[in-house]
Amino acid sequence: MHDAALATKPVAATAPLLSVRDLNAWYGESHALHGIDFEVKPGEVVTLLGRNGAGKTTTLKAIMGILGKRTGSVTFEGKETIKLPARSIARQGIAYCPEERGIFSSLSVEENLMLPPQVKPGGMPVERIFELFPNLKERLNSQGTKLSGGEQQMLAIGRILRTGAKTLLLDEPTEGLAPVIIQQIGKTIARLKQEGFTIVLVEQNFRFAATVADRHFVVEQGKVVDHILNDELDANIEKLHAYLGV
Amino acid sequence: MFELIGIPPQALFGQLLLGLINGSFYAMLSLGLAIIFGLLNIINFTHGAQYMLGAFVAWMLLNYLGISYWWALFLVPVIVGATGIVIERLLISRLYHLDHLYGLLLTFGIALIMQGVLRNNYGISGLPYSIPPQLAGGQNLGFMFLPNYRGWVVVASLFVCLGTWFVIEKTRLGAYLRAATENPTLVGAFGINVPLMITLTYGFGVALAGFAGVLAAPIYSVNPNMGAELIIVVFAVVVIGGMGSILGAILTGFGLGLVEGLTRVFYPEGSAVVIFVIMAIVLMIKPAGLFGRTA
Repeated sequence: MHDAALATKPVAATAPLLSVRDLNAWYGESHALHGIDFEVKPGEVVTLLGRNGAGKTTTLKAIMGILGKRTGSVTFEGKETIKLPARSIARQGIAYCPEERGIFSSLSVEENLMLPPQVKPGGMPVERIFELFPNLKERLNSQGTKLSGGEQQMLAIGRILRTGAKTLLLDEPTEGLAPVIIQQIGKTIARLKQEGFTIVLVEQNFRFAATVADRHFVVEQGKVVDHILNDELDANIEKLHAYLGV
Repeated sequence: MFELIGIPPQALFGQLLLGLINGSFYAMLSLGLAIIFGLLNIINFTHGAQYMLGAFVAWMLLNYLGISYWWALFLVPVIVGATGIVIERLLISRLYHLDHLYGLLLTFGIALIMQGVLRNNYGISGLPYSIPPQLAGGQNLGFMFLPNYRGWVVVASLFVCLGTWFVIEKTRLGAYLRAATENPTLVGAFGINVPLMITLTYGFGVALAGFAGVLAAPIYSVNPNMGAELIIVVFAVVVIGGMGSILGAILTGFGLGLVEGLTRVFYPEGSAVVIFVIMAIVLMIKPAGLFGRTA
């Protein structure tokens, strides 16, 4: 028993941080995910690529536990979370940034930023968040939804960096934003990766995804149908075009 | 004695004071309704009965246990709020996935049961609850006579309403509440226990009704129907102010109390319906209410 525990230890160090197995999920009666499988190692940035309606956003929501019904297995740091409510999953150290950004209109920018509670020690200090996103500092007293789309996205990312969660689920952070803002968000993701954050990114824009990610999972009709290393992206570009329909 | 537009000032200010008192109750009750509706999406039809329960519990504490008005002001909101928490956990929480209508019917049914039980045991003639001796008597302000207790009701109500407004609009706890009112799913995904917040918010809204009931006990007689009569007007106040707006509920409550008082001076026949006439006009011009946010 003791030896076995020792023997598994080196394996545990390279074991996946987040492991999704046969994940099924439903919106009400509608069966949206049909057995999603993928793994994310500590410190990795992976993307979920796929067409509209393929199930990428639903996968993030299902991992976070905010859909009505889900089955299968989602383990985080080796712990099964499939039966846990969203708040307990968040408390394990997973933070979620929704596609619609979820900025609260009845809260000021500062209140939005300070809203998510600390779930783990070692969250990013507010001053560092202002270094990453200087715009936020100047607009602290504005109403949250009075910000531009890019500023709202920075706020939505900034506020989950405060919480100490080191695994981030980002849903289309570049959607509808100007190229210069997309660049800034790309740099931020690269910096977060350097600091050891693990990131699952949902993207439509695979050119952006290619600049930040280690690996890509292709989602189609509620399943992961392919897995492409970022280094092999060029060799697979035809295949990817076919998947994404571009 | 001077006159204002043909009205003796005693009558004018007397009615304005009465309007302010009624407005105090409108404000406290519509505030609780607005908070509960904002987070739970349930129109709490039990609110009037919970206000009535507040008055009854104050009366019971005094007559069965000899507990004074001042202790009741503190104890009754806790007791009535606790009954609210039990009701939310056992009954209302089972209806969140259904249409609003079911919550409305459930809370209306609970109100009828509470009123029925108390009517059965205490009748409808009303029980006396005397003004605490510290607040007996009144002040002659020259232009009018101000009974101390009525002045106290206005001050206490203002204090509680503004305190609630401050907590909701200016504190971290209030930020959680406002955020959960907008998007409870996302707030849950940040690791906040939203179901617990919902339960405590319902308890707090109900405690406000209980507090209003204690304040009302020495003014209106303590009887099982006192809430049912008041709550209809309070619903009109909430509709005029706009569901879900905290400051709107407070301002509309006091404002409509005053309007009602003025109507009683200038056109007494209209005083019973003026609030409903305003409600109809507001609904036609600004359906979301004066302070309501349109979705």
